[in-house]
Amino acid sequence: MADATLRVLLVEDNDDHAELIRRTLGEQEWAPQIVHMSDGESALDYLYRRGAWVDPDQSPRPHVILLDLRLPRIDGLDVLTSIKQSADLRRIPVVVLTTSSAERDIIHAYDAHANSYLVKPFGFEEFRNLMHDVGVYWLTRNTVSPT
Amino acid sequence: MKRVLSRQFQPPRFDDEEQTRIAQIQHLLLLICLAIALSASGINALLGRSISTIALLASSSVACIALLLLYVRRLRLSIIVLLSLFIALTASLQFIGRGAHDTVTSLYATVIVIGSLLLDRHAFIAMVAVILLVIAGIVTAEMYGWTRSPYDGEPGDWLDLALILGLTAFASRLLSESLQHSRALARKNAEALEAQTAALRASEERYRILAANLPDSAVLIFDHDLRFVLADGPELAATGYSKEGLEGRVLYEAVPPSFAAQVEGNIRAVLSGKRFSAEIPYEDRIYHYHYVPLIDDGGRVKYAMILARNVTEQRRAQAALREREAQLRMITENMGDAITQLDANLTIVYASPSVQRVFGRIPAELGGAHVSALIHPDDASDVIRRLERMRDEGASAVRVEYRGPGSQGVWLESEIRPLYTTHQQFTGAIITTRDITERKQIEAERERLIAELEQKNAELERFTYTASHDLRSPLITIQGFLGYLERDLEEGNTERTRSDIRRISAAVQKMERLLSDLLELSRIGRLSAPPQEVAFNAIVQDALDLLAGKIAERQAHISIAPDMPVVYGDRGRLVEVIQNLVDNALKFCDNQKEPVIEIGVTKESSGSPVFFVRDNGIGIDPKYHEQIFGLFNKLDPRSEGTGVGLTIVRRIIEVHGGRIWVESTGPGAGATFYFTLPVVATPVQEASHGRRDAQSASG
Repeated sequence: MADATLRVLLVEDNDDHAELIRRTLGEQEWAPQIVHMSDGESALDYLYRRGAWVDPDQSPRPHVILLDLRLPRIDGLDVLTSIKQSADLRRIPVVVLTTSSAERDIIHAYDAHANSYLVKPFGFEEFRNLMHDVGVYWLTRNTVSPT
Repeated sequence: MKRVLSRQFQPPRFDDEEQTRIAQIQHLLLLICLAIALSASGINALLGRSISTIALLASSSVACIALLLLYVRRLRLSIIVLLSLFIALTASLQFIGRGAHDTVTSLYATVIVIGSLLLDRHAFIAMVAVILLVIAGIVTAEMYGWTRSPYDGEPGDWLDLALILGLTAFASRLLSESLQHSRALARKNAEALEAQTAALRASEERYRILAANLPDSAVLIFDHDLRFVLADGPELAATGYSKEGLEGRVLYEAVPPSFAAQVEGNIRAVLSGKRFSAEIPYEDRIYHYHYVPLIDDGGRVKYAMILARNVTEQRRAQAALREREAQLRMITENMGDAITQLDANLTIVYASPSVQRVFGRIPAELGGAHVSALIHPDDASDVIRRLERMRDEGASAVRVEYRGPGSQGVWLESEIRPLYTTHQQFTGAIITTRDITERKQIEAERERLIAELEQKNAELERFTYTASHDLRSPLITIQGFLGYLERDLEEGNTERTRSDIRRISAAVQKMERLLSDLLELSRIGRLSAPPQEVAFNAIVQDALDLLAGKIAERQAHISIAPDMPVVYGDRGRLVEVIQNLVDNALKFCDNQKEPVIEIGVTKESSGSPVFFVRDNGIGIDPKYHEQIFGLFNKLDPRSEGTGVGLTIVRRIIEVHGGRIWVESTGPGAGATFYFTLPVVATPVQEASHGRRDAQSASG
């Protein structure tokens, strides 16, 4: 890991939620660089380096992907499936971060090989604590697979 | 006493009848001899003739010895002793009398006759020889003068006597033997006759036993005089007659004249050689008469036989069976269900009258037709396969559902029961069939309702899921930024305080919009107003009036086809459809300087009208054509609106029984939303446009 920058790919259609996540993660001393995509299609464009993201320098691999499930154009589950079926991408941890606690979504997510499934909590402190834990675990404790 | 004595002094019996007879004669002779000898000796004793008395007593003794010999069954010896006594006596009398010329000589003839009767041939010849020798002795004694005879004997005397006695012996023996022969013949004949009679009796006995035991029958045999030769059988008594009262009597003597007259003709016909049967009731019974001529070896009719069988029970059983069959047939023919019967080749052999009502086929025309004539061609092979399996594998009753032979969509249900012989051989089937069209329709309706309910349920589930997810989002936003707001204030960050308050306020508004949209959506299931006929142009006009401000703002050009069909539905909701579609079109036309929106109608291949709203906006990628109608689905997260509009449109169209879809070749090519609705008159006819407008104007 020559490049010491921690990177998070945030796929979130709700701008307010994206801002909350960005702020909570930015407060940490290990604050990561956050790439925000507001729909499934542009997230996949970034990961597969298509369109505006052809240049690998412009689209470095994230250490973790925070993925919402309900997304415009391409649904979060389809994005997850696509990542986990790609030989290049499947080792990147995908943390599903959603408002849905529906059993169906949890099962589908794990069936599609999600690495973690988190429900966005109500309450400011709860939200901050969760994002702190996610950051600490996936960015500082977890060892990323060598590419 | 007398009986004991008589039994004691009985001559012995021998196995041979001839011997017994000889013994009887011998016995009689001995008794006579004894009686004569004893009585003569008594007379001689009184007269004082001692020599004669002694001689007679001696003779009596010899006779007693012979009698004793007879009693100890020494018959031959007894005869020889008796005859020897006679010969000795005769010779003695000759000797003391006048020799060969004495009259007593004739006694030899008597002895010869007795001997011929009692002795066998050899003994008889020996006896004759002894007699001739004795005479020769007498003649010789005469010649020498040893006797007191006054005559001189000479051989000529012996010759004369020998000739006479020889002839007597020959004649008497011939007579005796011919007598024996004819007696033997007579006995043989008698035996043969007896055997024949016994055989005949046995034969007649057998026939009579046969006649007497023929079950439920009587046998009557008449000769040509109409006389009862035989009358027997268990049924005879049942008719009040008896064997004894009929046999040997002529018809008119034996039975009442009326009955006699009734049968006389028939009996005469039989006697003339005719053979026939008839059934005649007698009192409360029914008799089956077989009239049979009995023909002898010469081919002549000897007797007429009537074999009468009581068939009352059979006829009653047959009548009961016929009655039952008639009842069953009556039930079958009056049943609501159709009954058909098939043979082993699956050919129709019976069709009840209800077949006409159930199958729509005339029963009389079905006889001999294959069962497939009663089944819809598409279902025939299946039903026939099941029948064949029943036939070939011995399946039990089966129930099948299939369509009727006509094209009226009649559904039938049949219960098929196989028919087997007692040897388990398939001989056909009985089929009971009823019309189940109504039940089938109810079932189909139920299936449809279930499917609809399931669809509604799934829709509701999807709705709840989506709604809960999307309603949580603004709450998280509000909570999160409220937390930061506190921090902003502590830090005195006025800029961020303002932006956070804006975010909170926007989230609250979004929430409010979501709730009202959801409320709106949930109301669509229930029509707000009773459906009515309304010209589609009027609906379009109402919608455009509501959107007048936006249209003016975008400077959009709206074109509306004239004389569109009259539709049937909830006017307010349909206005909402057009309003949403036009609003949507305006929203995605911001790439155009001159947005153009076209509202019109075209036709499907089937001829039904299809309405459309077409724009020249940004267009929609074909892969999102289905997604855009989903609840809260927005292709652009930053675009205004909650993502409920197209969901509401689809819901209204579906509630009206129509379909909606979008066509767009892709980004920049514009989009066309097509939808169908129930129309009052289809297909659209150019000539009728004016009238329809007039209707809508008046309505």
